[in-house]
Order: sequence, then structure tokens, then C-alpha cells
Amino acid sequence: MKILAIESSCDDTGAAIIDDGHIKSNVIASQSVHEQYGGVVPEMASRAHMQNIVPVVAVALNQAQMAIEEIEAIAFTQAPGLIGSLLVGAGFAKAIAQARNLPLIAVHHMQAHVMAHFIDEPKPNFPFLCLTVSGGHTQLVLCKSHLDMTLIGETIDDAAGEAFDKTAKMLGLPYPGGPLVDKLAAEGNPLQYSFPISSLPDYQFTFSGLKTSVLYFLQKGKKENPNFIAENLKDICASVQYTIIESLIRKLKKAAKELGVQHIGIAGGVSANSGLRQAVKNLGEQNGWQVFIPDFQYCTDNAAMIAITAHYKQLAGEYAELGTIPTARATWSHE
Amino acid sequence: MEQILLIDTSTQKCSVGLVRDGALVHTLSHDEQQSQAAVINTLIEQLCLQAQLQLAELSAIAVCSGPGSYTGLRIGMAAAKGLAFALAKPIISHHKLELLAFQNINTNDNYWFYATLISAREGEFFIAIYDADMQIVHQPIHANTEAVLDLLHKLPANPLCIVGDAMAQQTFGDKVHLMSAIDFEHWATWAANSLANQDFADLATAVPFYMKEVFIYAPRERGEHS
Repeated sequence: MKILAIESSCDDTGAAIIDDGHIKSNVIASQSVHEQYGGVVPEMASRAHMQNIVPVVAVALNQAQMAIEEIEAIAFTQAPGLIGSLLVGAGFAKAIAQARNLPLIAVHHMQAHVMAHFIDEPKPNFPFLCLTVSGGHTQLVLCKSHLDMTLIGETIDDAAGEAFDKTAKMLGLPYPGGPLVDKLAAEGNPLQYSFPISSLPDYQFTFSGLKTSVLYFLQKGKKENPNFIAENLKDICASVQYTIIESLIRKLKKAAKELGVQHIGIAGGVSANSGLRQAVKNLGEQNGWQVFIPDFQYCTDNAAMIAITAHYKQLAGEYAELGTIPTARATWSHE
Repeated sequence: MEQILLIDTSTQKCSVGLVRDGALVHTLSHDEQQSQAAVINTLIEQLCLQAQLQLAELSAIAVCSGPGSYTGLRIGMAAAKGLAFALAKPIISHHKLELLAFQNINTNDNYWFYATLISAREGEFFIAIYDADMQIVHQPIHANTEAVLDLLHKLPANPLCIVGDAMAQQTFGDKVHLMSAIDFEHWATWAANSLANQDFADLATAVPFYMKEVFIYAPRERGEHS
């Protein structure tokens, strides 16, 4: 089945075509307008989606060498996300489905991040444990099948990506600062400075304490030496990155061991972080676990992951009604 | 037969209508708050059933682009764009200042100029002025009370008919005739006129008639107090 999938949960407008489980195109229009504000401005994101949606879908069809008449189902991100952004993608998708009398598939954005592992070979076997890390989420998800996923742990406050971005902001780095922290960290000493690693029970994460700790650390450093940040930037980045990654890896390791999972992976925008990628690979090697990391284009927000999820939902006959509405928040089943 | 689907989500209601050869033949409306996204497609579905219409038979899709609640406008515009894209049909984008001016002209004749005033909250208004032939005299603007009065005073001393919403009437007095709801009968005529003149919006770039820029306060530095 040929499915057109649309993603518009935050500040990227995406469209992808999948044909019997094979991605034929994956187009994304990113919005640079938010950079000057140091974060995504929801109203601006909604406006940009409205301007991007038609060209993005048209290019996705063009790259897949398909006409809209050949599409057999329409998928869209239903939740979670910025409501104004979701409404544009959902409204556009539902109208196409209605106009062409096609089945509609509603996709959970966080489920789709996990499903990004099932786009390319090699694909994980079940049970599969996925650590999804992005600017808005930090989740540990146990997958028993493509559509049977359980959220076993998540952050109780800030997301890991947020910790990266907020650290970057405190260091005076431009938005989005996460990738810059990663780049600078590669040349710094991760053990130069020590920050607290959370010790929450079970598989929960917390990063707000780290953020405060970094703030006080920088204030103290600048008081003693006005050039403290500039002179120690690489070591600070390396030390903060080490702490965030260590927090993530400890829970991933604990969960994989306790649940007896042999196939582990990372997903979400922060899985592009080179330090995290290496740490997960090392964890796999040390424990004899197979590690899966999606191709970079499928880590950040994209429509291909919506498309692959829709593919499996369609196989299971999980369709949505035209009255389906997007929601900013969406719950997962907790174990 | 020329058929146009009308979509209006610029108020709390969600309304759709069907125009056949210039005349309104069916309308449906749902006025439950915050339900536009949930009902818009089913309203269109019901309209199709009542009018025995296949969406592919449409000649164009007309949408009221605003001003109004941004969320509502996006719901209507996204639906209109999706339908137009999927059916390869043109999109007609009409803003409310224009539609009310057309209603005004059809309802109150013998004036030279026709102004539409709609509250933009916070003591501000959207205003546009047309002549009796629906030619634009003053492009739509977003202005405060003083600027609106200034604009009206600058008009030539010819008969002027002003329509607007309750806030406009409250602010500017009885010279504003109360008219704020889009009459689909009049819209049908105006939409048919746009279709005849091929006055279409560009599908890719069509956006709601926001009229206001996004205003963002610069983030405060830590420890800075307002």
C-alpha cells in the first residue's frame, strides 16, 4: 500500500511516501525563523507550516515519482506536539483523505520515533528497548512488537535535549546549542568538572537539577574569573555532556538487564549526539547486546517515521475517523 | 454546472455551504465551542450527502481567511488547501472585511463608500473601505481607535456606510451599523464572481488573513525584573 505521511508536530514540516514498507521519499522543511528567539515560537511555527505544507507534500510526491491519485492512504501526526502546528498537518491530511476517499491513519509522534528503527536494515528483534531522547522528551520504551509498546520510564521534568540546549544558552552558544555542545565536548575533558547524576528510582530521569547545578557552577566560576567560560568552554561542554549521557546510559543499562533485553537502541534528535552514540555502542559491546541507531535523517523529526508507523498500523487495520483531532499531549500505557 | 464549497471557521462556529451556478443551495453549521477541527470534515460529508455532490465535481473551494481566531482560521484554511490540493481545484480566499463590505453594498445602496470595522481586541480594529463597485478605496489595516477616526475623517465628504461588530458600534457610535456575521447568500454571489473572474489564491502560499504580526517580547535576563 502506498501511504502519504505528514508530520507537523513542532517546527519541521515533513512529508514522506512509503510503498509496502519501503520509504520512497522523505522531505522536510525546517524553520530557521526561531533561531533569533532562542527557541521555537509556537505561533510562528504554525504560520510556517501553513506556508510549507503544500510544497513539501508536492516535493515528496515528486521525489517518489507518484501522483496524488496513486496514494492509497493518508497518515498524519496526531499527538503529542504544539497544537497549532499539529492542526495544520492534521487538517490538511484529513482533507486529502476525504477528497480522495482514502483511509486515514493517526500516528503517535513518540511511537513513530521508536519505529524509525524499522525503516532500514538491520532491524531489531523483539523485545526491543528504545531510549528516545529529544528536545521535548526522554523516554524508555519497551517494544514487544511493532505496535505493542510500553513506556517504562521518562523524565519527570526537563528532557535531555532541553538540558543540552539550556546548557548551551548559559554558555552563550547560539540556538540550537545541543549540536555545538557535542562538537566542543569532543575536544574537552569529560571528567574535568563533576556534576550530579540523578538517582531516581526505577527508570525515571531528571535533568532540572543538573541545569541548576550548571548555572551555579558557571556563576561561581565567572565570579572568580570573568573569562572562566571562554577559557574552559570545551571542558565544561565535555563534563556536562558526560553527565547527561551517563544519566541516560545508566537507566538504559538497568532496564535492559532487568528486563532481559538483548536488542537496544536510541531514537530522537539527541541520538545524533556523537557522545551518546558512542556510549550506547560501548554499552552494547560490554554486555553483548545488539545496538540500533537509525540513520540521521530518521532521528530528528521527520515524516518517514510517521510513514513506517502508518505502514504497520495499516497492516493491523488501525484506521482513524475523519473526526479525529490532534492533541498537544498524549498518554502512553505505563507499566 | 459550477459548484463552489464555502468554508468559514472565522468565528466559534464551523460553517460550510454549497454554491451552484451562483446560488446558495445548502448550508450546514455547528456552533459547539472548540469543535471545529472535529466537525469540519463530517459537516462537508453531510453537505455532500444532502446535495448529492461528489467532491470531485467542485469547481473551486472558497474559504473565509479571517480575521478571527488563529486556530479557527488555520482549521478552515488547512482543510481548504487539502481539498484543493487533492482535487486539483482552485482555492478562493475571501477575508471578512471584503465579504461584509459586499453584504453592506447589497443591503444598503445609495452610498459612495462602504467601510467594514471589526474589533481586533485591545482597543484596536481591522478596517477596510470599498466603493459601491467593490473597488478597494483603502486596503485592510489594523489600527487603533484614533487611527480609524483619522482615516474616516480623511475620506471625501461623500455618503459613507459603515458596518461593524458590536465593539465597533460601542466605540464609534450609531454611525456603525451592526453587521458581523457572514451571510452565505451574499458570499455565494461573491464567490461565483471570483470564480468567473478566476480570482484565485495561490494554493501553496495561501495563508489565513492574520492581519497582525507575531509580537514577541525579548527574553528577560535572569534576575532582571519588570
